[in-house]
Amino acid sequence: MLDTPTSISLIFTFLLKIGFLLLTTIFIGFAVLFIRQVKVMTEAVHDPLNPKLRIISWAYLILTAAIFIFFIFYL
Amino acid sequence: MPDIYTAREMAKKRPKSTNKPDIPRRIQTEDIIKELKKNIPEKKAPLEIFLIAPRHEGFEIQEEQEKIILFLRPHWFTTLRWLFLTLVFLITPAIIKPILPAVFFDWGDKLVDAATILWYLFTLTYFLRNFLSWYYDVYFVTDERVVSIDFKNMMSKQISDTKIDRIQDISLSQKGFFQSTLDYGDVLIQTAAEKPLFTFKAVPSPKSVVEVVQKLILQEEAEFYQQVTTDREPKNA
Repeated sequence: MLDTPTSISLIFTFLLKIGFLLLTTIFIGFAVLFIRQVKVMTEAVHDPLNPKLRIISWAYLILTAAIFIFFIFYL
Repeated sequence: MPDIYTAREMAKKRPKSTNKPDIPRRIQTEDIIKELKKNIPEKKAPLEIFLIAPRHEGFEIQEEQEKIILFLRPHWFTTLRWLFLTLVFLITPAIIKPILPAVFFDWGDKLVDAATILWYLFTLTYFLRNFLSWYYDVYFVTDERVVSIDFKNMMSKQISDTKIDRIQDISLSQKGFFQSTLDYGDVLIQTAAEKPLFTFKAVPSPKSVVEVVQKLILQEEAEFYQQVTTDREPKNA
């Protein structure tokens, strides 16, 4: 039987892991919003940097998704 | 009885007015651009905040024949706050990590690594959001109108424009040491349009912007005068 401090520590660690996964999900949602907003911005203003910023927005989504998958296996 | 006044004869004798401004519109806009380029060196680097007659920049509602004279962004000095905060966020893990076990219980390496990754992700998000907000907060002065494009947050877009001939008053505001030294400030445009006050916030070289708009207003007035004079000219019998 686990003593009380160890069980509290385990529960807290478990909650932290869930919290991290939830936070990463929020970042993925933000990345999707980010892609949409970059699309609106690049349509409104024609600029030489537009194609690069669109690529950056997609790279950001891929990064957040990769971090989420990494956390599932790592934590 | 002698004639006192004969309209037809007087019309024949009256000389044609030589005060009409008959310079074509296109040349006048080119003159404005040439004068600007003489005083301000041309720049072609990306992330520019003041461009004269840009070739690659444009906006959604731009008309085909409309020529952009000025393309403006807020001065780079206004970005210093969030750039500094980004730097602080970047170095925070290096400071917090050693003291974390002392403040809370020992998280274990995995959780600390995960927290660090999330913190850097947050920093990247913060930087990208602020960068985009600055980069796409732009102002255009064309030969037809002034345009302001603003994205207040990630969910909203605001495009405002007003024709040059609806501008009633224009002024500039430079407050404080930094604005005066770095030559940037607000340009306030009073209009007769639906939106009565346009503000170009923290734009570089506001004096040049005001001068350009004033010349465009004179150009519009000259065209209006030319049109009125042409309409009033008596037709030959």
